[in-house]
Amino acid sequence: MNKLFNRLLVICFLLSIFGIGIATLVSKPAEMLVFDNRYAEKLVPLTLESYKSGEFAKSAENAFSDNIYKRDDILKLYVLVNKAMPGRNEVNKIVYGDNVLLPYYSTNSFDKAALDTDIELMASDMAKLSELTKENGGQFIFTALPEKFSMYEDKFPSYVCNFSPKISYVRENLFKSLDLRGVDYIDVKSAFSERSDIDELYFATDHHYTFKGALAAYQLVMERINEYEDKPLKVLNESDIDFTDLPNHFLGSQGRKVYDTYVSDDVLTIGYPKEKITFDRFNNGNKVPSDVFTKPQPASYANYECYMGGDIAETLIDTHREELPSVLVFGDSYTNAMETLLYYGFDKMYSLDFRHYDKMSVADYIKDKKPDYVLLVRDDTIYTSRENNGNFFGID
Amino acid sequence: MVFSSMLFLFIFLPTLLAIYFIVPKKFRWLRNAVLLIYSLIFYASNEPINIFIMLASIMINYALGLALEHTRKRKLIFWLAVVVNLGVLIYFKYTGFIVSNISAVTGLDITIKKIIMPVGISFFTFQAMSYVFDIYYGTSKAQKNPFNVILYISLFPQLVAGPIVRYQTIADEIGSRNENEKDFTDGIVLFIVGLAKKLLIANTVGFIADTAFAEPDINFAFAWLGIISYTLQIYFDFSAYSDMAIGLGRIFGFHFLENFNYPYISKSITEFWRRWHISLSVWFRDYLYIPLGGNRCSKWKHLRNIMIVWMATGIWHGASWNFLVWGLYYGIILIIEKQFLMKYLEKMPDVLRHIYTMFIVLIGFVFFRADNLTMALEYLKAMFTFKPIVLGSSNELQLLLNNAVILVAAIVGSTPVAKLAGRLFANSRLKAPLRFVYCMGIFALSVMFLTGSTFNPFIYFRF
Repeated sequence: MNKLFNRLLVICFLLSIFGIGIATLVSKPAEMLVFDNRYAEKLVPLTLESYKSGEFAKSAENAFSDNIYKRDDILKLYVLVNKAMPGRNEVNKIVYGDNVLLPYYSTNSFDKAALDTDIELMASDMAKLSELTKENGGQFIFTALPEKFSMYEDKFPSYVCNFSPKISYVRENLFKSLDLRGVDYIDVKSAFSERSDIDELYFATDHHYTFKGALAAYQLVMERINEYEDKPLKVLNESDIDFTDLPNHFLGSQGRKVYDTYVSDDVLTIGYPKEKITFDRFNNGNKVPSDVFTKPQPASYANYECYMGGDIAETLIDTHREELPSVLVFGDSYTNAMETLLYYGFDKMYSLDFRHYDKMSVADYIKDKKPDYVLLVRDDTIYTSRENNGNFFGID
Repeated sequence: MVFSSMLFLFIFLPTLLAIYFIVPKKFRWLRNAVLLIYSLIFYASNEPINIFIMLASIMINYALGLALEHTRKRKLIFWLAVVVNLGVLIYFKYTGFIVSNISAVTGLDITIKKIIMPVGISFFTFQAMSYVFDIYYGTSKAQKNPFNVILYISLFPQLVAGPIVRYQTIADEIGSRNENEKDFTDGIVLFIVGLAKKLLIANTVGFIADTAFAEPDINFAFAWLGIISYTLQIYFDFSAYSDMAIGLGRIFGFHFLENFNYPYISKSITEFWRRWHISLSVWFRDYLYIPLGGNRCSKWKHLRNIMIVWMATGIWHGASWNFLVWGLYYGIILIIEKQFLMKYLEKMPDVLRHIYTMFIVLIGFVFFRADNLTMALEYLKAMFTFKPIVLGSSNELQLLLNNAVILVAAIVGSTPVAKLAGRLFANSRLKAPLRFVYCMGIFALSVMFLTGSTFNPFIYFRF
């Protein structure tokens, strides 16, 4: 009996290592790893250079790991097994909050002196950009958005770092500094906090706001812009929009990290104004279909990239209504959902994402296009970052 | 490539097993050739250029070994081996440290080109020295076949992170060994256990330790949780590697000596060092402590010998003052134990002796884990300074709750509880079925955790 089981152990072990190895090698290599949200690693050709640099060995390891047989199933099981352990409230750097997934922060400590310097530099940069916008006939407005976790501080377990000390410190001091310099900004967090429907403004499984959240932020922006307009621009309300919940299963950025094992009510909503307008859309200078939503194929997941088709370096929406002002929006992905509504009130809407756009700085773009409004849209994890969309006078 | 990587587990190991065991036993040279080629591929995957440094070091020691048998100037050859091997080690591992200290002391701005340390240099240099020393002391004969010396030193299971296999331990097995079913099965079991220790426990508790040591404003509870986690991490990480190395060796018919023997159940530091990294302790005992005179000399020379060995042990672990202090710390404690503490310890209840030992070990590991001495002292200060704990200001409770199952498993697993439980079934028909379920269960979990991780270097790769 003992000998039988010992042999069975050897056979099972050998079958596992040979079987998984062979199955992986004969399987078709993956192009895209959906849950990882990245392309699968490819094997670098073996050359003297790739051998010497270690690139070949590294790529062999990574390409094999990325294509391991039944990878998605194993990873899903990995999350479920981890989550099933008593006391587990975090898996893959995702915290299981009160009916919501949240990011994991390893500490609440931060370097105040370094942060003070960052705040002053950013406030100073924004003041310069605001001045430059005025010189070119426009108005600069910083739309200070809260990231999901920032609105949901109380949804973290009480003993888990929620990053709020740093976020609060930045908010308070940056706004003070902007006030001193006369830079216009919208404190979206304060406005959102007064609402009774906060739970509907953000996805449970994605770090972005929902379409409803984007609508709320858009309305705040338009109300502020109308303070500068003699004749108020049209602001879309819920009653002006035809909402549609997409039937596709929603896969959020945080749900993806736990391999879609978290059950939520998240659906992706889109909405077109009931009163249609015609417009032309250009992505990176190329004319594309006149739509602000990229709907997923029936069998695909729905995700935040549906709004404006995801992060694009340069977008222009031209509604051919020269009597209306123009607007330049720049920022990270939070701009996308807002832009699906914003274009409606303007002659031209320029949208830039400096994580991808590298032709000129935003300062030069303002000098070139002379938009009537310049909106910087950023979430509070990166208010003071001077890279990409925070680098106003250069290109990273 | 490391043992706990997909490529090793599902390509390297199966192809090696297939090719190796297809070759009939009588063609020992061919089996050795297969092992040698795979060992060099294994090392080259980590060190594509520095592999030539390792090969050069081996060939020099091979030549020195032969010279020892063909010359009367044996002492000269012996010292030449010491100088060459330590020279290589000092150049690659300690040049930066030495230069930075000279710069700090003299105020001179000395800059040197960054020297890339070959992976596992401390291990293969010590094995190479062991080869020459064993010939010098007459416990082994020099190998005529250079490929056998290359195989001994570069044998992939123990090449990059030990255990440090002394030449005399496997000298005979290189030329004549008996791969058999029992060793093969035991080897697989050891490998699986090692893999699970690394992937399921060491990596998890390591995350707690990393978070604690990165926390800028750490409270005393978090500091203790952090160092306890690190103490568990280093044991499970290093002993895991040793288990896998010994297991892989066993599969191919080699019998490496145990490297860890439940060190955390020790009741004195003297006992701890008989159970921790045994191959290194034995190496220093046989090739440094005893040649210096060991304890068969005057009291002061004996104390001197202990301090020399422990300074060497400390600095062997890394080119930093931390490691030197860590070595001296143990040297001093061992002297204190030997001179007077042991007689009091022996009268104390076991539980108090155990608490004393673990306290000393935990404090020692602060120096081992911290990036520098200042950080170590800051961390120790945090461990002994009571500050009110504000929930949510740092993640100590989160880390404790989140990893409670693994922490309990780690604490239990660092004791021989499982071994003792296994003995209950020693003569039972259930022994093999239970072992089968246990091994396949932890192997499946390990593959799952391996898939869940992408970055997984072994701690001991830096030594």
